[in-house]
Formats: sequence, structure tokens, C-alpha cells
Amino acid sequence: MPSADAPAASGRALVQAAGPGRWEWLRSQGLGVCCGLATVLLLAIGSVVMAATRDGASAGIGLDDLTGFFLRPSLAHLWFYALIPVAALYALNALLATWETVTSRWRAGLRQPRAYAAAVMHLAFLVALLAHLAGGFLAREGGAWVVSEGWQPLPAFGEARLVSLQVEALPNGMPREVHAAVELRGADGRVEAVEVGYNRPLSAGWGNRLALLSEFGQVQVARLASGDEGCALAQEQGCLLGGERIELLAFAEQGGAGDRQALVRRTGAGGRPEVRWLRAGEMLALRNGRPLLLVETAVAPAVLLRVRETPGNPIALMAAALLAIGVGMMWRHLSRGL
Amino acid sequence: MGPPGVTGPPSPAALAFVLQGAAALYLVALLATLLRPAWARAPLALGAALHVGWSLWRGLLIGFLPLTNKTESFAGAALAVALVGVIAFRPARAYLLPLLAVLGAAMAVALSFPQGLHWPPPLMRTAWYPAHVPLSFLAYGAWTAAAAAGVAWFTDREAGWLSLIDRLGLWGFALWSLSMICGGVWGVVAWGAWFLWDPKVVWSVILWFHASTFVHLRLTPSLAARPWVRPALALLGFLLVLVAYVGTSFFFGRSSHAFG
Repeated sequence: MPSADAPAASGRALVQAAGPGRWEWLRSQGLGVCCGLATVLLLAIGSVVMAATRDGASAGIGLDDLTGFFLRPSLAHLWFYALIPVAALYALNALLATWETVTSRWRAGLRQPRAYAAAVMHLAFLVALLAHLAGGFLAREGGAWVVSEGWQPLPAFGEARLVSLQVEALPNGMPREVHAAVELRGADGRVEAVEVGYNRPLSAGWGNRLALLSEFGQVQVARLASGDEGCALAQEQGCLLGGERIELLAFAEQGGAGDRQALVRRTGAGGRPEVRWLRAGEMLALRNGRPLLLVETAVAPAVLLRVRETPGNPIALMAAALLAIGVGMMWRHLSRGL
Repeated sequence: MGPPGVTGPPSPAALAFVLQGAAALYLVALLATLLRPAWARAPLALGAALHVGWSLWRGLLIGFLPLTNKTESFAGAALAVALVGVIAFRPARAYLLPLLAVLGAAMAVALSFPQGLHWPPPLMRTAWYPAHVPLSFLAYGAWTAAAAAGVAWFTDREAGWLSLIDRLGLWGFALWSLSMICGGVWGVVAWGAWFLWDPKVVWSVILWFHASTFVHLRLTPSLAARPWVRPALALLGFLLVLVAYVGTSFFFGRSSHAFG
């Protein structure tokens, strides 16, 4: 490969290296067609293998993940390992052919956008491959988080709380739309109002960070107070009250009237965790002498948000924009009719 | 995933007759093709018009694009084939017969499923879905017509079919690219990823690669002396469409595209 001796070679140098002579095949249409057909064949094999090994070798591979193919190497992933050099050769072929076409057409004085439609689409393909790499190797699942009326940390978004939850129902009772009004609080304390619903996730960084609506409904919450401060916690949530972190571990029935008591954990004397059941109206002394009061337990609306960080999304968006532009530039060619 | 759209508003009895009427007109187009192929265009266009009316009526009843269940899906695919057949009409039996056979098969499947209306599940309620699916179906239609033109080329070896195959292949590629863009954005807002290791999505990518390869065939010097390659790959493309559209729904198990 020409780049083996010159890793920092420019595009021009690559093209020159792949110009007339023994490397010309690298940018040939024939190689592109072979790579395309090989990709079709390998992906077709892969789709069958993945379906057959969904509960085995391919069990942990979901969404746009690529790491699963390497964390648990398997013969079942051979099609994917074969796809890597094919995709690399395909990308190199597209890059070299595009460079050659664009430079020769530009030098020939061609300025009409449609002359560069194919080049833009090739670029979209290359950017889409980058998006696959970024999404496949760098995406992180941030877990599922219950957001109810109290401020709760929402990874990648600061803190969040649910202001209101409206569910539009169809005549048969099924949900038609979900409108969850959420407030986000950043590290600087600034509060932003947003809405979450189906197909309307919280999004930041052009889709780099997402919080997607997973479930909605109602959860049991414990409303706690310490002086002027207060927070509402669902099970397994925590908050800062009176300078201490308070966590709610569980609820339990208190008698037969439907009242509940809450199991809370605080940092006790000597930094040891202290776990206590609290009834409504019952108080607990915090380290600095301030009281912690369980005001009440109640049922409150809540949403379950699935947090995902996926750096492939903004790159894929760029690829999509390029692809759309490329198709637009092809329009003159397409509009000649059938 | 959202709850499946299993029930919907009552379906007027006349609604089923409209689709049956469209099917009857397609049958007339098939008979016309056997007698005199040039006569087939009018009943095909009338059938497509009635078919569009059926889709609009269903859409008004459910307040959404009527692509929420298998009846509507197969009927939508059939409509796309009919529309492409009307636009890219050629009065030749070898071309029209395979095209109308596919159209008839899709209509038969659509009519074989229960005709009830379904509400769309919440995950479908986005602008990206009504853009994604019709574009996909129109691409399927273009590739089906390209395959029919391939059959015609193998029948009479006329160069005109190669030109039609190229143009239909290019149209299919452009439509499919736009469909993939819409589907990718929908994937991001619905599932958090623009690509999923899901049979339907993987086969969508396969179709894109096949189509992008196909549009390069005409420009490949080493294939200039092998004109059979384009018709052959057009036929292969149709087989890939069958797997992507039908096969992934029935033979690959769980899919993010299964909505109940």
C-alpha cells in the first residue's frame, strides 16, 4: 500500500501513488463493484448468522455496537472480521476515485453542481463509515433513570425533574402521545424547560447525548424536608438535605390503611451509613443537628428515561446531510424521466 | 418499545370493496397485457387511482399514514409497484407480465389479511415514519420494475431495456438513500441509534450497497462487453428486496420493525 511508507501522505500523494501504473486498480470502478458485492454477500451472511446466534455468540451485540464482536471473539463473527478489510478497501477505493474525479473535473473547468453529485455521495459514504466507527466503539449506555417531581441526577444532562405528565389516549385507551414536561438544571444552576415524549428524546450535541422515554406512569415517592429544604425521592434515588446525602432504599406498608413507611439511608456518626425506617411525620437528626422529616409518602407521575451517549450520531447526521445534498445534486440527471 | 397498535376505529364495509375494485382493475390490466399490452396502461392507472383513494380513506379514518399493519403494508407496496408501472410504462408483455405478477401477488397478500383498521403505536408517530416508508416502497417499486425490464432484456436482448434498467436502478437508489436518511433519523429519536443490528436494518443497508454498486455497473469498463450483468443484477436486486421486505419479517425472528 502506498501509505505504508508515508503515513502522513496527502491526498494528492495518494492519488499519484495510485495513478497510472501498478496501483491504478485501487481506484478502479471494478474494485468498487467487487467491494460492493462482497459487502452485500458478507452482510447477508452476517444477518443470518446473527439471527441464528442471537442467544449465543451474538447475544451482547445490540443497537450500533461494534465492540461486542471483539470482546467475545467467535467463529460466528468471521463474516464481520472479513467485512473489515473489505470496508477499508472500499473506503480507500471511494476516496481515491473521488479525489481523481473531482480534481480532473475541476481542472477541466466543470463547475455545474451535478458534475460533483457522485463525489458528494461518496463523501457521505465515507463519513457514514466514520459514524459507524465512532458509534460502534464509543457509544455508552448511561442506564435508565426514574425522573419524578424531585430533582434527580440525569447523567450527561445535569439534574432533571418532572413538572407534568400528560398522556393523550386513543379511544381504545392506548396512549397516542406522551407529553412529559421536564426541567433540566445544569451545573451553573440554570434551569431549562424541555419536553420529552415518544420520538422526542432529550438531546444535546446534535444527538451525541440522548435521554429517551422508556416508560411512563406513577411511582411511590417520599417527600422529605429539613428546614426550608425539601426533596421527593422515588426508590433508589438520593438527594442532599441539610448538607447530607439522603437515599431512599425501600417502601413498606405501615398498618392496613395504605400508609407507607420509607427506609432511608444517611451517613451516620464516623461516616458509617445509618439506615432507618421513617413514618410520615417522623423525624431523624442529621449530623449537624438539623432534623430530617418524612413529610409524607405519595404517588406521583414519573418517566423512565434511558440515557445514551453516542458520538456516532452527529457524524451520521453529517453523512445524512451529505447524502441528501448528493441526491439533490443528482436531480437534473434523475428528472430526465423514465 | 411502544404498545402495539392492535385495535382501531370501525372499518366501513365499503372500504374493502375499494381495494377489491383496485385489484379488479389490476386484473383487467393483466388481461389487457395478454391481448394488447398498450391497452394495459389505462386500467393500471385507474386501479392505482382507486388504490390511492383507498389509502386516503383509511388514512382519514385513523388520522395517520395507513401503513400500520400487514394489510396496509402489502397494499402500500403494491401501490408503489402500480405507480412505478404507470410512470415507467412500456407496452411489452415480457416487461408488464412480471411487473403485474408482483403487483398481483402483493395485492393478494394484502387482501388475505384481516381488513380491520389499526391505530398506529406511539413510536410510529413522527414525521420521519411517513417519509421513510413510502420512499422505501417507491424504491421497491423502481427495483421491481428494473427486474421486470431485466426479464424483458433476457427475452429480446433489446438495448432499450438496459437504459430503462439503469434509470430505474438510479431512481431506486436515490429514493432508497432518502428513505435511509429518514429511517436513520427516526432510529435516533426512537431508539437512540441511527443503525441497529436488526435484520430489517441490516438488509436495508444491503439494499443500499447493492443499489450503489448497481449504479456503477454502467460506468465499469470491464463490464462493457457483458451487457447481461445489469439485467442479472437487477433480478438479484429484486430477490434482495423480497428478503428485505418479506423475509426479515417472517424468517429472522425479533425485529425493531415489528409493531404487532
